[in-house]
Amino acid sequence: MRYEKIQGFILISFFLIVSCATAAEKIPSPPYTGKVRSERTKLMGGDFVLTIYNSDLPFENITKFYKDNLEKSGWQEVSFQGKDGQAVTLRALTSYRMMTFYRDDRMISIQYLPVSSTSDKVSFSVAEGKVPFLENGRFTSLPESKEPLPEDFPLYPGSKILPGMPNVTSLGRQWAVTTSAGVLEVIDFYKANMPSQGWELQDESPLESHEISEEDLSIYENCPNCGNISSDIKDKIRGSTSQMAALRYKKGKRVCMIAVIETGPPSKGKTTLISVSFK
Amino acid sequence: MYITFSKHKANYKKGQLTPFFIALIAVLIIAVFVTINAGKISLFKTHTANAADAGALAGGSVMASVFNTQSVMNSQMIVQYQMFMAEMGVLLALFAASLLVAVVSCVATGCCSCCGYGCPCDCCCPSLPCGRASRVAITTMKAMIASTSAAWVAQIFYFEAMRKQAKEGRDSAIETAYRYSFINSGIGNKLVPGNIPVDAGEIRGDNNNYLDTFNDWIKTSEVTSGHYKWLDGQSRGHWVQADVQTDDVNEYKLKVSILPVPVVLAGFGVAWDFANAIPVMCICCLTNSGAIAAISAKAVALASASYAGLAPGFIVSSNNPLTYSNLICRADDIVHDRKVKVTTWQAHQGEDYGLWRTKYPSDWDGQGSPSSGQRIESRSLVDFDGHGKIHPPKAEFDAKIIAIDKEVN
Repeated sequence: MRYEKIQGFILISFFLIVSCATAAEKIPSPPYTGKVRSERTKLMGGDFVLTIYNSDLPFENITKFYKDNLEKSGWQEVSFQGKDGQAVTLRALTSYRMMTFYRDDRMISIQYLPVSSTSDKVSFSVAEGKVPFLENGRFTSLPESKEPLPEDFPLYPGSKILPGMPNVTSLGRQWAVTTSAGVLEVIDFYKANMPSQGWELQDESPLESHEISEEDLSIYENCPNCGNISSDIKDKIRGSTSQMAALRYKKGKRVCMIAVIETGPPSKGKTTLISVSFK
Repeated sequence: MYITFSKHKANYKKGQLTPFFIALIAVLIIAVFVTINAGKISLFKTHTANAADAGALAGGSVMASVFNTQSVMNSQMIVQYQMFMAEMGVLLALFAASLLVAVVSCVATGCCSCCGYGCPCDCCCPSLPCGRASRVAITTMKAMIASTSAAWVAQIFYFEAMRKQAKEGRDSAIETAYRYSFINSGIGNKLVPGNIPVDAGEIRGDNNNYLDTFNDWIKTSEVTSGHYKWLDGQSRGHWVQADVQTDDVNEYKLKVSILPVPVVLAGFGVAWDFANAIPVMCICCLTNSGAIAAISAKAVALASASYAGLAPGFIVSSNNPLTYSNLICRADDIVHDRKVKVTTWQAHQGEDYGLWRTKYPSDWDGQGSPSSGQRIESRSLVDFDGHGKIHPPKAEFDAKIIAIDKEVN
């Protein structure tokens, strides 16, 4: 009996210690704000806790709240060096309503979410986690992909999985793969090889090509948070083309979505990216 | 008076009241016939009204359920979009952070210091954090492009699943409305108990006068618009028609991103291009940290501008093919009047009482459509709006009858 009590005490203490050690830092939330959902996500090899809130406060008050509270706890807002040597925060630079803080190897990213589940609330997300390319304040490269693609998924020959994969997102486990092959070649490969692995085609999005026109660029004028895109950037974007196609397969309860896009930096020519998601 | 009557009773002739009673009996018989006829009319009217109400309510309830599911699916679509934007925000922050590391490490380590005079450009500098950090930024940008294209397609596929659910649900609602109309038409009471003989012919043929066959037809066959004929035990024809109307669910108002996704991806591509220039700057010592900071800031600004273009912008019709160039953020509404209308009529061959056949509803030869004098018609209009909404999602669609017969246009 006595040993059982001691054993129990040790077990409870162990769990308490482990839970204290592993718990992410509790980030304060503003008043009049309710948590909608919280999910663990993995991005580029870093683990993040992503929480979505609905608030009665305007987003400006929310950013002020976080700035005041996080800076008191030693978090620092990310800023770049501007032309005149002054620090420009990522918030100012991005022109989008988001702010990012760092402390040691960790990061907090707070951003306004433009679609709310209720019409009269402000939605925003808070992501907290370890920066995947920092270790004890020193830069390290992205971790190589440790988790292989499922065995019943044929990897396109000659393609390369990006480091830091898979991302664990709302779409499931997601691998990004690069190849020099064209979109149709990749699509044909999967159409030919997926059925033999037991996958059944559910949906197909045919090949779509898009060339950026002047009209497309004029939409930037209607984008309140897109900032001013300079004419030299517009010149780079204008005329660029992209091709895209997608397939969705099902096998039992598993769903596999393959999105193939040919795009890339204008100066480097096209790169084909294959996004493979399993849910 | 009694005495007077008794005294003179011998003077009265017998049978004087007979014509009176005959007239009375005739009136009574007519009254009985009229009552039977009126009763029949009333019964058929009740049956057609029941059929219309039951069909419309059943169809409306299924449509309410379909719209509730649409509302819930829309919530899920919003959550997917929110999560995508939140995840992209983190990726954008990582992209910015890695470029920041590139700038800081360039300043801190003196990127160019290791490239001594005569040293080939790629002999030592690729190992510098500056170059490696910018490569992390490029990888992150690739992941952003992959995530955006995946989310773009996922939202389209999800919307197609929503549309499919609504279309199948509407088909099911119409079929349910027909079934409930026929079940409640009262036709079952007129049929012979038991099953149709094996050699009796088609279900819609003239031999169709068995209750079990009717029930099987209701349960298993595709019940559609049109008039159906049944025969009762005396081979009298009974026709029932139901017509169910509800709008198609084929047009949605969708809230889509401000920028078409290819424009966003092109913006990411140019930001990638800027990030691409940084390793060259680091390796070949072409420039100083200020230039790297400037190009990093440019890359981050463009990436974030492109990301901002994924915010909800326009409400567009799902029937416009250009809609799918943009990222679907949510369904704003479904173009539908939220009504189910059922019109039913019945026509019956008269009942034969030997001397007399019920005159109303009048006999009909079964060809074409019976005239208004030959049929009894009922209409019912159900509204299934309740307190439901597609956006903000509120799964409170509920069916209720709002108009009957002449109130229904």
